[in-house]
Amino acid sequence: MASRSIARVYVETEVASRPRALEILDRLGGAERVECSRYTEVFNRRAQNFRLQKLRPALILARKHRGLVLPAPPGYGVGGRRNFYFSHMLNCVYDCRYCFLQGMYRSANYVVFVNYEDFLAAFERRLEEAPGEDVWFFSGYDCDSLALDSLTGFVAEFLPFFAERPRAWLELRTKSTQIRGLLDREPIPNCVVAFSFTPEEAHARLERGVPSIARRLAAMTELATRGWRLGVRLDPLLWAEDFADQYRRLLDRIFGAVSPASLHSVSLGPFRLPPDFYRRMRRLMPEERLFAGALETVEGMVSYPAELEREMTAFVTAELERRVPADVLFPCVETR
Amino acid sequence: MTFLVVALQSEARPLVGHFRLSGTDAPGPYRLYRNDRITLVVSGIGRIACAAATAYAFARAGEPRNQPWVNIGIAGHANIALGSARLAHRIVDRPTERAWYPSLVFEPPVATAEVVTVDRPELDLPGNALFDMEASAFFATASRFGAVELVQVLKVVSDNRESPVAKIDKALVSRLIEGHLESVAAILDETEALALRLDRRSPDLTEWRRTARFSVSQSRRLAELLERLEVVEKRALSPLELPRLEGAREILAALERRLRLRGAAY
Ligand code: SF4
Repeated sequence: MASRSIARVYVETEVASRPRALEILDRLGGAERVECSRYTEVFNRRAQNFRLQKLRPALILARKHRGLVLPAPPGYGVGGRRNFYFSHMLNCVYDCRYCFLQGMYRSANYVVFVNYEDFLAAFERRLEEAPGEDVWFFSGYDCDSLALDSLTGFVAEFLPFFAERPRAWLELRTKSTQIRGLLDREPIPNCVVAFSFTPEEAHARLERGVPSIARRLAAMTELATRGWRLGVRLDPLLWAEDFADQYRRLLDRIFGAVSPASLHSVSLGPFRLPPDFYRRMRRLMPEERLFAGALETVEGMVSYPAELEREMTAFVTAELERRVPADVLFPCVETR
Repeated sequence: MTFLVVALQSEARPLVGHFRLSGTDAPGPYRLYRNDRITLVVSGIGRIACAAATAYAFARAGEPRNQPWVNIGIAGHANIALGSARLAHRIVDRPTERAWYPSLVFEPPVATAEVVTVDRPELDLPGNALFDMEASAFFATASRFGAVELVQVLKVVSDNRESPVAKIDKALVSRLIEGHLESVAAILDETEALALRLDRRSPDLTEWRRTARFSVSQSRRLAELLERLEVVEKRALSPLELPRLEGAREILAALERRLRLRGAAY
């Protein structure tokens, strides 16, 4: 388990005696504890190197003061009109070469915001702003939603809120197989557990530490059997000479294992990075073929050349249309 | 190059011997010792001296970025036994109350602790911190020279409530540092291995500059394209491999075309 390799925990003095912080510290056993006044003293300081920190990430327990729930970027969503995202955690135990967190943060340390009740209060406010409407809350933008769940207890603490509020929708986006917290409770219809996939070849080359496709599919089938609703996220779409074959094989595997009845939504997302993220990532991984190749800046984003992106999106969308009902398919791509 | 910064000549002595460093003859405000791998500077006591000596060593070496920097010295602590060593996990600059948190991305060879830097020797030794007179200035300065993960502070306890600061003499200081040469060596090995990960050879533009005049931004673009092509083609490209081209703009366009043709695979 990733949490076993955490050797050091920085704790904001303000949260040091909170029960949730103490529980997490307790679960970490022998990890050394260092107090700090704000997590930003440790996290994302100038001259920190993400790749070096990734060798031995520390954990930071903090309180999130502002921006607990933010409007989701355009194109992010699976049919809802009101979309928000939130991050109870920053950074991820996995190490995907394409992960934009490396461009966003200078630090690879994990930050867990332990003031869960403030997140729930912020959800409540968003729901009150839209009486009678469904509101979506997406988790897994700045982290993997489930990978550290056994340490953070995130699922156990957040799900009861959604269970009592049917118009509050939760998406847990993940590449993890840490589903114990979900299996331990009754499924709720307004929660979607969305698993991300790239083809086997990309997984082997670019997704370090990420559970195999087979294990993720096994987790999905187990959740489906218990009545949980599932999402499939083909994000990012990664190009290769034989991308068509790669994606066809991947889709055969996914939809061979996951029954259409359990599917809430299937979406895809192109590989796009803000230019400053791209520059930083290339500097961190100058030897990485993914960043060295023919990427272009199109409409303020570094991405595959528009033509390639269109070709891939069209191909994968068509393949999905053959496999899943139209009402669960959300291609989510603004075409160029 | 790895840089060691110590305040006292008596701290330097065992390190100079162990790592076989030689004094440099060049005149200068601070004493320097060197070999192919290590530069050691003796700063004198206090924050200002330490910051200045650290910057001086950096400048004298030609301002090399992303190199290991380690401050080694003595410190007081209320009750940790004399001769014990600690690697800093938090450094507090008492005069300003600013704090730094060294990134410990390797298994520390000794336990870690908080180090508080003061301007006058701390006689009361309150709390659970080590007290020294240089660490904060060292850290604030050296962390401007590259990745902060390469900057570390190692302190050896020289005084505590049972053995006050007045008992410290040069021989004791040297003995205390001598007792931790293995830990120093381990920290150097670790930080040097980290530095190696950041060691990037920029493409050699000399030949390319002979073929055309590149402005500063064109040179930057040229270096980026050559670097990317080297990854994609798994070898360095020479200007002789391109058809005869007139001017920097044409060369850059040709390199961009070449990169596009090589595709976007991962
Ligand atoms: S699983 Fe997601 S968040 Fe984690 S490293 Fe991979 S892309 Fe980033």
